[in-house]
Amino acid sequence: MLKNINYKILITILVISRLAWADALGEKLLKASDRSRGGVEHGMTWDTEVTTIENGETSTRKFKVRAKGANANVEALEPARNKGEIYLFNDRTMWFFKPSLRKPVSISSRQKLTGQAANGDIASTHYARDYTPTVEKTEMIKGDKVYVLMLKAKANNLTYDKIRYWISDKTKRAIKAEFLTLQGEPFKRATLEYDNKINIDGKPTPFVSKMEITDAKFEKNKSILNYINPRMEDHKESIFNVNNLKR
Amino acid sequence: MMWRMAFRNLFRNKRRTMATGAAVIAGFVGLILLGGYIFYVEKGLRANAVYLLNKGHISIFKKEGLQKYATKRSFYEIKPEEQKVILEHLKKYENNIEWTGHAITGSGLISNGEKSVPFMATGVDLLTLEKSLNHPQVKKWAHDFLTKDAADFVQAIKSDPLSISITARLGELIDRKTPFSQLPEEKRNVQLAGMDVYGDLNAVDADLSTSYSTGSELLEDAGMLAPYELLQKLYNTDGAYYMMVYLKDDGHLSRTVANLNHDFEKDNLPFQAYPFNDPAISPNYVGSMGFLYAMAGFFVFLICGAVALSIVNSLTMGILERTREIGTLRAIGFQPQQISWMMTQESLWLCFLSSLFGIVLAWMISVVVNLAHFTFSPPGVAVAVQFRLSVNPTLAVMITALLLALVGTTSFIVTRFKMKMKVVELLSDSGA
Repeated sequence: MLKNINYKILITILVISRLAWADALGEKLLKASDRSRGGVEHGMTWDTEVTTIENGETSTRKFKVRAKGANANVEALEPARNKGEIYLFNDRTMWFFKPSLRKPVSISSRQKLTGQAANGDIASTHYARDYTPTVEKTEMIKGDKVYVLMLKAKANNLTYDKIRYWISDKTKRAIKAEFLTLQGEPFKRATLEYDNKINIDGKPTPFVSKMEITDAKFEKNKSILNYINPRMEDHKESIFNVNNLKR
Repeated sequence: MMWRMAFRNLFRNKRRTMATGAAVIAGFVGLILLGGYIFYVEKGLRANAVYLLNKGHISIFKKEGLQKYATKRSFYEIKPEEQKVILEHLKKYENNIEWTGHAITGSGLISNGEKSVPFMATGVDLLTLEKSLNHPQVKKWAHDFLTKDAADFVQAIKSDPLSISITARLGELIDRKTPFSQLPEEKRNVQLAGMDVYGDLNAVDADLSTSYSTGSELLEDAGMLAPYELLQKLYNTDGAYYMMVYLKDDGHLSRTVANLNHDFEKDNLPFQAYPFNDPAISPNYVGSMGFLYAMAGFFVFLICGAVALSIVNSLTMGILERTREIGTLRAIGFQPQQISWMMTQESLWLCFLSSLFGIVLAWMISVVVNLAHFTFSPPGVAVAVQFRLSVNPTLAVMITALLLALVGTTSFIVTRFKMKMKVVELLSDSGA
């Protein structure tokens, strides 16, 4: 009788430990993968060129991204009609401003930026801060073990409600993602490449070079985000202050 | 002679005549007031759709633009040179055109500098705004849909081209209370953001000036009326979503629309005209009127049924009492048809006199109800409207004709049955 109870306690402890380990693993993997997508405390700068192919038409936009911690200042460079427009990310709040406006406009990170890319896709990624991960399973992709995480949004003002996220066990970098509706159906898919390099704390770290976001239903409609010339660069806090975005 | 006899016969049994007359009067008043209510609502919804919701009597879109404009704005908008082509085609109908206008619609976010909420905007040219807001049809039938300061919008745009009019509820959502014109300048200034024709986010400054109502509960949280040029600037376009044609007389609306579409097709032009009462243009008008017509049809059936039964009952009683009289008339040479016709004439006299009395009664009731100023919010309507009854002379004539036909037919059928009896049977009838 006593032996039986001991077994049950032991099994419960093992299950709880396993779950705790899985959560901790998920968070660890997310933190590591964020570093290669701009989610670092140091100041960083890079350019993003977004090529959108939609209904057979192609268009290109270019942005300069300056990120530091939870803040990012994204300035439109091209096309000429959009030059000078600024998207400001303050933690999870997002603002849009252009020089002709008297005041900035509070916008949502979920809103479409261009093509398949949402506003929230353009800045640095902080999935470890914004989402609760659960390890769903592991898969073998091109001979590498890959963890499949289910990320659930911690707040309702985030870019996506749910994300299925594939992180390589070997590189600790995300290689693909599925952006899900509340019902769990994928509406966009993304693949990521890491051919850029940055120095974090003196260590060369691979940095995202390309993200291709595809419409889950109409696969010909896609946006390709190319990350150009990423570099560590300190930024004044003032460029992230929304009060400085007034005419 | 026969008509006079029939009239005199009405006074032979005054109580029954009054009872039957009362049934006809009740039915007549019911029909005329129901018709008057529907007439008033139809006029109000029509004026709201045509003038206040800026649909015009005819809306002209790029072919398939009505359905696809939101998905591919640049392709389905009507460019300035295309607007000229449309205006050229409209010259053929200019005798019946009061004016033409153009509109652009779109959605986006309105921001007070701290938070943003969604809006659904219609941008309308100044001429249309000026004419619509002051149109006699609006003042007569749709003034319930106008806010106190709605008419000031045109003047506000003339002095500040960034002026916009939003619903009071949208104002509350961005912490701005009406009257907006009394707010300090800093509070009146807002920003509008939306996706432009290139698919990029754009934003413009705007100033809150007046309030307005969409008239629809569904749109009241997001309604915005803006100058045409301001929305064009927001959406980075010089095109229009649709053009409106305002007619002097909309009596031949369907034919005008059909002719216009025929002209477009003949000249191979990619445009499509719709009447304002198309479900795709004014779903609120079509839905509300459909419901009212169905309800009216049901009540007309009930009222006509009650009136017909009263007449049948009264005539049957009258014939039973007058069987021997009918026998006497037959015996002295009256034909069955003549007697049937005389009794039908009695009913027609009764119906006609009851209708005259009914018109006066309906008019008195409508005056009392309108003076009482009852207000209510119909389902789906965002504003409280006054319950009004209107006695329409044309409708009164039509209902009188309907009742005369109903009463005449009913009487003739009932008396014809009795005429099938032999003269001897009629004369020996005890009246029981």
